[in-house]
Amino acid sequence: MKRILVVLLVVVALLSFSKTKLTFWGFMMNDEHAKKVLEKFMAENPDIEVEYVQLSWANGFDKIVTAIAGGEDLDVVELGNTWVANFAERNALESMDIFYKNYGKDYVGWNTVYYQGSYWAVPWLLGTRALFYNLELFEKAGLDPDNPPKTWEELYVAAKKINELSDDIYGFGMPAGENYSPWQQWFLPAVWGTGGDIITEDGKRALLTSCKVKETAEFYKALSKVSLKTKQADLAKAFGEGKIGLYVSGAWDIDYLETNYPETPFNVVFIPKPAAWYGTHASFAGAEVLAIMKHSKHKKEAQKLVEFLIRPDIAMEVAMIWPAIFPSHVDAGNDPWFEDHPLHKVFYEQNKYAKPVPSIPAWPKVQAVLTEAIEKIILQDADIDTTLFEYNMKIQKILDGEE
Amino acid sequence: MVILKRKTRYNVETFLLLLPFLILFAAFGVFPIAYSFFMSFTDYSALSPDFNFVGLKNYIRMFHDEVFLTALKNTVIFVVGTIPFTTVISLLLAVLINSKFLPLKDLFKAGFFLPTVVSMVVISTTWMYLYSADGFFNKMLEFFGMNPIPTSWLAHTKTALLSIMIMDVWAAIGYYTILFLAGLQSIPQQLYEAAAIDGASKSKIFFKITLPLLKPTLYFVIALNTIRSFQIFSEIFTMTGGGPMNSTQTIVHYLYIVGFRNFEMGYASAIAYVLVLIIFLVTLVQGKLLRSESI
Repeated sequence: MKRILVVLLVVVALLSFSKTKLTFWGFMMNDEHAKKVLEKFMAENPDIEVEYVQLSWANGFDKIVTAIAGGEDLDVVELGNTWVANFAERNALESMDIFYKNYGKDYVGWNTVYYQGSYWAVPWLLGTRALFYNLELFEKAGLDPDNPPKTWEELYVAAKKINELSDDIYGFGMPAGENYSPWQQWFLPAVWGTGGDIITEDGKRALLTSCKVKETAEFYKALSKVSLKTKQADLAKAFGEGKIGLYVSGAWDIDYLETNYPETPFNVVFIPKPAAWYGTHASFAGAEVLAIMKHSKHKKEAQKLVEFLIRPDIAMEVAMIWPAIFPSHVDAGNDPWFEDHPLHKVFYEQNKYAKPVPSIPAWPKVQAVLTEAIEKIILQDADIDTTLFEYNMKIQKILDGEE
Repeated sequence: MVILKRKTRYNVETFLLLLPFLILFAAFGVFPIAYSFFMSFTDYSALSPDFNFVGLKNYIRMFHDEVFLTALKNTVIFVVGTIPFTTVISLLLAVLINSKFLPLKDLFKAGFFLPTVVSMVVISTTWMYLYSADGFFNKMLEFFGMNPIPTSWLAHTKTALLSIMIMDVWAAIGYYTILFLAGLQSIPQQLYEAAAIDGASKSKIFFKITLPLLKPTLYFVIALNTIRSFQIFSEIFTMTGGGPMNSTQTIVHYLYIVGFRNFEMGYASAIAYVLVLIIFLVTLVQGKLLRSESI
């Protein structure tokens, strides 16, 4: 009896050692989805076993950082694109230049993972923001629902007319009181729309005092007077209840509004550009990217897993779990799914104008200061010139490494 | 000589028996504390194992760091603004629950204690709904004909910190009520009987007997509350993320941002040590004040 046990143990041990065990940490898939997707991978690669750990947006970032600091065994990680430069700067990621060489042409969104001459992750799923507007409020305010605003001026006029409808109806929804949404939805993309930016391309100088930022700030301040200014989640709710005429948000709100407020008729269009003859429909580019850790012991197998996950059919399967972000493959838009989902298709197409944040390691600090500046202008009615000047210095200090 | 030998052996035995605990304590208690103190003099980033010594730079930097100074100010406002309310309200509740006339005592005890056992994140999320643009508080203001704040209370610089303070007092009183109740029940009943025979008034009994005898509990409650309030984090993390415009930024939340968002673990450790120092000094002063005979 004992002998049989020993033999059995040895066999089990041998079997478990013959397979390479990969650890994959991600946000998008829950355990059930991951099992379905990864079983396909394991069927194709019988020598590799993948262990999936689902992270939450609330604490996933910290878990990754702690894992890196603790030297934990981690092979493939799904990251938000705004984190890439920071992780790459601290030498935590493996260079993915080889992927760019092999797959560069077939995928978009590479600019979201580029830092200091190399690619540090592979764009997997892309998400952006577009303009939602309430058809009913448009009609009530005497606006043409089939002719939504395409420029800043048209947007302002529409918002103002809707705002005048009643005391508890607001023209536009402007996020405030949060870390990310005030600049993401949509101050910074508006600056990009003018062709400007808040930091120079080399990441050395702050541009808050430039005329393009000032132009945006003036428009934004004017718009804020006819806006409900509160947290992004409150805005979605208020829009569903028919209290806001227009607001900028991601594709996840399509599902949210259709489920919770089926009576509110709405449509989605491209983000307005500064003027008919100038600027672009720029929006914020969010991306789920796949990275391989520097200290991974199974880099070859990890590469196989990344190659598998970015395959258009697999990526589409993952994206459909939560159709708010779409595969980065150039042909993803041809998927028949989009024919039945025209609103989602708008987001997919808006991706063309989407821009990622500047790839500098100090971005987390810069965005905190930027949020403060925007809130000061829209919540406290601060003077634009003084505020931009003051915060330009703050950002410059961060870029100089003094803060 | 014999005695000495026995004593040494006794000491060795004691030491050996204590060893498992000492090892654990050293590994999980002393070492991390000492190590983070050491790290506060470096530019350690957590993402890469390399670091350089920077001397006192991290400590000096704090005095120029506007956000840190704002966080310090907000934390002090939070501590000074919540502790008196928490203490007084929970003391009054304890006296009320302890009185002979109140029916359904256990129900009240359980009711007030409930927030203590619920996770702060759950409480914060619930209160976020109450504070939201068309949440409970705005609806109440509207009902009484007042002009409600049209946004979430947490999205406004003037109301954000106050909102969190109100919630925190609500969430904290239960725990301290139970502590006060325990203190009240340890006061000998004969003292009250004697006072009643002497014809002392209710308020006189409270101020001359209850309060003085509750002093150890009072000291304990205030000290515990001070330490807890200085370390406020999950409420801020869940509800506002320090915003808008850093109006709810507190020391521990900022420490977290510095360490885990900006990857400046060295600087974060330095902030942690300054916080330790502040809490140490404040509790020391409180101890001196409350233990003296003046109260």
